[in-house]
Amino acid sequence: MSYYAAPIAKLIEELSKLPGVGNKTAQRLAFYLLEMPINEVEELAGSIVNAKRNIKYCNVCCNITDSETCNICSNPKRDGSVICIVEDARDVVAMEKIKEFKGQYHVLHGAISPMEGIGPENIRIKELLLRIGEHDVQELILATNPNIEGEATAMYISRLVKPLGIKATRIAHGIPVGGDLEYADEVTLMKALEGRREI
Amino acid sequence: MGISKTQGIVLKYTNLGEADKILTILTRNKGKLKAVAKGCRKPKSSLLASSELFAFSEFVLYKGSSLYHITQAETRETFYNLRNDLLKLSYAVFFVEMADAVSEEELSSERLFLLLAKALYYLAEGEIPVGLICLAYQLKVMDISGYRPSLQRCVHCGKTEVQEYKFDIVLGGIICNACKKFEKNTIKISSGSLETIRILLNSEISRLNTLKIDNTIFNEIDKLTKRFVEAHLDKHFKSLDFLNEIKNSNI
Repeated sequence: MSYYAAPIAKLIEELSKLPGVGNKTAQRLAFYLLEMPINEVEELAGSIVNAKRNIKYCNVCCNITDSETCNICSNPKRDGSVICIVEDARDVVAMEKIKEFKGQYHVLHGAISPMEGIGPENIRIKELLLRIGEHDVQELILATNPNIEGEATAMYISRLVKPLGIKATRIAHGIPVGGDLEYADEVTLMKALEGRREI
Repeated sequence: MGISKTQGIVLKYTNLGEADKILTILTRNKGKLKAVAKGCRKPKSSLLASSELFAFSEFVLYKGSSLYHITQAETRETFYNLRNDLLKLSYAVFFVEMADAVSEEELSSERLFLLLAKALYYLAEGEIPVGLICLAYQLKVMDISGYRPSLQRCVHCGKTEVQEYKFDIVLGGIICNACKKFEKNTIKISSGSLETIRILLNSEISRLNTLKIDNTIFNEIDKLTKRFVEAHLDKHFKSLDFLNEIKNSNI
C-alpha cells in the first residue's frame, strides 16, 4: 500500500528509475516538482519529451543531433579526411572543449567487450567502414577510453582498416595534468617516458 | 572486521555512480570477493591502474556491511602486453571469466589464484603458444575444481589395461573395451592425445615452451576439453564466442 496519493506515488516511481536516484531522492525531487510553478513543470516535461522525440543519430558520424546531419559534419571548415573515433557522444563534447581538433568524429556508441558479449557488430563499426568507403579518409584517430574495452576496440578497428592503407593513430597515454608520479602505475610511467618531448 | 591486506587479480567490474567501481577480485588467501574502489575512475585516482581488468595488485581492504572497501592498492602487474594483441586479450578475458565461474566467494583457493596469475603472465609474455596455454589452463582449472580427468584406469570398471581409448565426457575419464556398452557421451581419443593431456595437467605452464604437438592432437584435445568443461561447469562463456569470432576473422 502506498502512503502517497496515486499521482505522487507514480511520479516517485518514475523518478526512481533514473540512474543514481534512490527512493528517498525520488521523493525529494517529486515534492520539489510539486512546489514548482506549473509553467516551469510544463517546460521541464515538454523538454524531456521534445529531446526524446527529436534527437536522432547523425547520418554521417552517428553523433546525437536534431537534424539529419550534425553541426560538425555539415560544417565545411571541418576536415573530413581526419576522423576521431570516440565511444560516446559525451566524448565528442570533451574533445570539442579543447578547441584544437578540426577534423570530424565518429561515435561508436559503445566499445567491444568480450566479457559482456558485445562484439564489433553491436557497435557502429559497420557505419564507419561505409563512411571510409564513400569518403576520402586519410587518418583515423582512435580516441576510445584507455581501458581494456577501449583498447580492444581501438586494436580491432586499426587491424580492420590496415589493409585499406588508412593511417590509424592512438591517443597518447601518460601522467594526467596535476597528477602525482608516486601513484602512477609503471605502464603509465613507461608510456609517459616513451612519449617525452623536449621543452 | 579490521583492515586486511591481500594480493588479488581483478576478474570483472561494474561501474558504480559517477566515479566508482565494484570490483570482483580473486584474492590469494580470501577467495573471491567484491570490493568498492571509490573514485577509481577519476584520472588522478591512486586506484586507477589497480581497478582495471586483469590488474594484479596488493590490496588493503576493510569489510563493510555487505561489500569490501579498498583503501589502498599497489599494482604489481598489469599484463599490459595483452592489450596489444586482440587474440591474447580475448584468451585473457576467457581465463578470468572461467576463474570467476569456478571460484566461490570468500573460499580461499591459492592454487586457482596462482594458476590464473601464471596463465596471464605467460600469455602476455608471448613465448608459449596461446592455444597450449589455454588448453593447460582449462584442464588445470577443472583439476582444481575437482574434475581432474581420470587417465590411468577405466572410469567404469577401474581396469588399467585399456587398449582402445574413448573418453567419457560425463564421467570424466577413459573407458575400456569391456565397458563400451555403457558408452554415451564419449569421444574417441588417441594415445598421443592422452599422453599430452597428462603432460598438460602435470607440467607447470612455464615449461610448456618445450612441448611440441601436431595439429591433429591439438584439435582432438581442444574438442575434448571444450565438451568436458561445458558438461561439468554448465556455463556458457560469452568470451568464448568472442574468442572464436576473433580466431575465425583473422583480425
